[in-house]
Amino acid sequence: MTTTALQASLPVIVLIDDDGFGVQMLDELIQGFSDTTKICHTDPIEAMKWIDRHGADVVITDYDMPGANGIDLIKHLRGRPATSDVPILMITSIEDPAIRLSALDAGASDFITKPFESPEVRARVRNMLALRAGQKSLKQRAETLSAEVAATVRSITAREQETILRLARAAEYRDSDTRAHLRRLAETPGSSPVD
Amino acid sequence: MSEPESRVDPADSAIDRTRLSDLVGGNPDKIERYLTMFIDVTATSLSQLSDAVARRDTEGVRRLAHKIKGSCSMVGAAGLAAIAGDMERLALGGQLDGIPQLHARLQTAFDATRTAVGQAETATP
Repeated sequence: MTTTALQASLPVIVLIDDDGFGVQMLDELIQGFSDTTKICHTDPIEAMKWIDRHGADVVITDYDMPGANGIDLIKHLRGRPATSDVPILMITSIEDPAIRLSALDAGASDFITKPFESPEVRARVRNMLALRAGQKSLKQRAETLSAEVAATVRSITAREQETILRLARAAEYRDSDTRAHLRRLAETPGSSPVD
Repeated sequence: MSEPESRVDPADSAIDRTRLSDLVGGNPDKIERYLTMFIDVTATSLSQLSDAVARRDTEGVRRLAHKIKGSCSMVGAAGLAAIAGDMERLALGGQLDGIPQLHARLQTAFDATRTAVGQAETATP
């Protein structure tokens, strides 16, 4: 059901809450983000497997879930290169400050307690999508630069090898003018090989 | 004659529809649909909670009270959420003594909420 949208490279928001009603409400909350793909999960283990396979651009998760709680999920995602910097928002009705701190320590990007103000949550999700877009753009730029540097290094190496080859050929003549000849060749990289 | 609703504190059973309205972008059809869904899922959770209370299953009570609190918070049922939150706290601390009273109060308040939601739906053309 999501293949087409995923192929279209729309940002993917993954929603995780073991309560079916809860996840449906979260899905409704972000309905306005029409240029995204929303994936809902009620099983945190399945959610982790799905994200491992397909990736995610923003993750919104509950805390209190059977099998793996929200902090387990955050630790799992942060431990993998593909999701180490994906923005993660935890939304829960648990008010315990220790859990909030643990979630943030584990790598949650933000933490919201129910009941929440819907416009505020949407604004935070929007910021997370913008942050993710920035991360992807930077990564793409770094990859482009890295490719350009690699191409330049290959070109310089090829030229150096060509120069050494020409010097070697020149040295084979062993005539009295070899030293001067090598100097002239060194100063004229584009000159033709000596026959 | 003593209907259960007559003993309910209105603050326990009230629903602030603006919260749900904000969540669904003000769509009245969605508000009604999600309120009906809320009533259904909470009725099921309360039934499971009754069983957990009867079994003196502390973890079951905690988990179900937490679930009910979350659903109530989403739809603006702050009074119900507060009672469920009190149950969750007691269960978390392993205190089952006050649970049956809170459970009865939660059930009574929820019945009043369900009646009010049903009446609102009937009144809506």
